[in-house]
Amino acid sequence: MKGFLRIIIYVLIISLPLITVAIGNPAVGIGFVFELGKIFALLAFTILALQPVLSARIHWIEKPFGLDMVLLFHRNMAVFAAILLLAHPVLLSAGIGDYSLIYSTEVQAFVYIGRAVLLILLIQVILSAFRMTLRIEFEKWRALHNLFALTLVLGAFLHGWLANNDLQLLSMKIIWIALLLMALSFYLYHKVFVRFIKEKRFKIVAVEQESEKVNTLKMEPLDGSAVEHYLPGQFHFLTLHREKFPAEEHPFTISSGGTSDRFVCSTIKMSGDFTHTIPQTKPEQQVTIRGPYGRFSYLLYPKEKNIVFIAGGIGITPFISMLRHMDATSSDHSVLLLYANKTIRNIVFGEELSQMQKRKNIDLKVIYYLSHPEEDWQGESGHITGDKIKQHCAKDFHKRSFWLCGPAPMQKSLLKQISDLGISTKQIHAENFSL
Amino acid sequence: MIMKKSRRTVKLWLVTSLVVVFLLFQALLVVAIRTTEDERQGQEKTRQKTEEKNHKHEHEH
Repeated sequence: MKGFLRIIIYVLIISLPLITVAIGNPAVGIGFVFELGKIFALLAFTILALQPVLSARIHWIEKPFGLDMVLLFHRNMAVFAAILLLAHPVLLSAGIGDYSLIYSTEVQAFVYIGRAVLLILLIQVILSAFRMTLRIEFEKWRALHNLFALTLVLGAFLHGWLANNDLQLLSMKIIWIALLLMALSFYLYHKVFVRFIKEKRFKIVAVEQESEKVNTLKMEPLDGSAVEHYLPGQFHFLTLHREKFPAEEHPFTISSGGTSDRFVCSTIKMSGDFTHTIPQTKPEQQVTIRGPYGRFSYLLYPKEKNIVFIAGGIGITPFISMLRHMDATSSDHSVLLLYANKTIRNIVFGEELSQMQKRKNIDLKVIYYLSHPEEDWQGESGHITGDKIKQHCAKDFHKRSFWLCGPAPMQKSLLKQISDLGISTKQIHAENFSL
Repeated sequence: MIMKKSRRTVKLWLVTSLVVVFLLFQALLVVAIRTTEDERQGQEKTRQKTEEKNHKHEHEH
C-alpha cells in the first residue's frame, strides 16, 4: 500500500511517549481507571502535536494519499483526540472516586489550564465540523482555527508539564519539549516560512472571460523562472495581492494542460464572496501560488486507456486540463466526456472541445447535458444518470474508468449509480474538493 | 440508504480505524503493565513487612 511507511512513522511517533512511560516508570498508578485517564491524555497531546505536521501541506506526506485525504485524516484524528481528552478528567475522577476535579474551584492552576484546553478543543471540533451549517466564512474560521490550534498545543503542553506526573522522567521531559517544538516548527513553516520567505510570486498575464460567471486567470512567474512541474488535473492554492481586497488564500484547480513551463492557468466560477471579485483582477497584479497538490490526474493511472469524464458545471476544469495535455501529447486514450450544465450559456470551453474533436489528436467524444435547456436545444436534457452513462459507453462500459468532478450531491449520486451497475470502486475516481 | 463511498474514502476510514484501534490497544497494554507492576510491588512490600514482623516476633521470643 502506498504511503504505508508514512503511516508507520506517524503511529511510532504517537507511540513513543506511551512506550517511554511503560519502560521508564512502570509502577506509579493509583489504579487501572486512573492510569487509563493519564495515558489517554498523553496520547491526546501527542496527536495534537502532530496535527500541524498533517496540515502543513508537506509534499512528502501528501503525495501518496492526496492532500484532501490527509486533511480529512487530520480532522478524524482531532475528533479522536477530543474524545480522549473528554475521557481524561472523567477517568481520573472515577479512578480516585472523587469528581470534584471536574467542577471544584479549589484546584491547582494546571487543572484550570486543562479545563480551558478541553473547552477550546471542543469549540474547535464543533466549528470545524459544522462550519457550513453555522455559515461561518472560510477566512474567519481559518483565522480562529489557527489561533485555537496554537493555544491548544501550548495549553496542553503546560498542563502536562505542571501536573508533573509522568513528566518526572527526564526522557519524558525531552519528548514533551520535542513534541512542542515539532508542532511549533511545522506551524511556523506552514504559516510564516512558506507564505512569506519561500513564497513564489507570479504575475497575472491575462484575465479571460469564459462565460457569464467563469473567468480564467493566466499567470507567469514574476522572476521569469519556470513554473513548477504539475500534473494535469491537480490543484493549487492562490493568494491574489490586490490593493482593494484582502490577500486570502483559496484552492483552485489548474486548468492549463501542464505542457508549458512558462505559465499556469486557473478557471474560476463566481460562486462566493471571494470568487465574485475575480473579474476585478487586473494584469500585472501579483499572485502567490502554493502547490501543486492532488491525485486527480490520468497520468497517475497509466493502465487506464478507456476513460469516461463526468463533469458538472465548473467541475470541467480538471478535465479540460487533462484533455489539453492529452491533445498536446497525442495520447492513445479514448475519452468520453459527459458534461452537465444548467443552460447552454453555462457551458465553458465548448469551442475548444469541438476543436479538439476536429483535430483528432485524441479519440474524444463530448456529450452535453442541460438540466434547463432552451426550446431549440438538440442535445441531451435532464441529469446524467448511471443508465445513460451505460448507454453511451455501449459494450465497453465495464472496462472503462470513470472520473467524477462536480457538485458534491451529483458526485455522491453518480458514484452510487455507477457502482450499482457493477463497476468496481477501483475504476471510479473522485476527489473531495470541498473540505 | 447506505451511502456508497469512493475507494479513497474507504481507505481513509480503514487507516483511521486501524490507527485508532492500535493506539487504544497500546494504551490499554501500557496501563495493564503499569497496574500489574503496581500490584507486584504492593505484594512485595506486604511480604517484606510480614517477614520483618515475623523476624521481630522471633527475636522477642
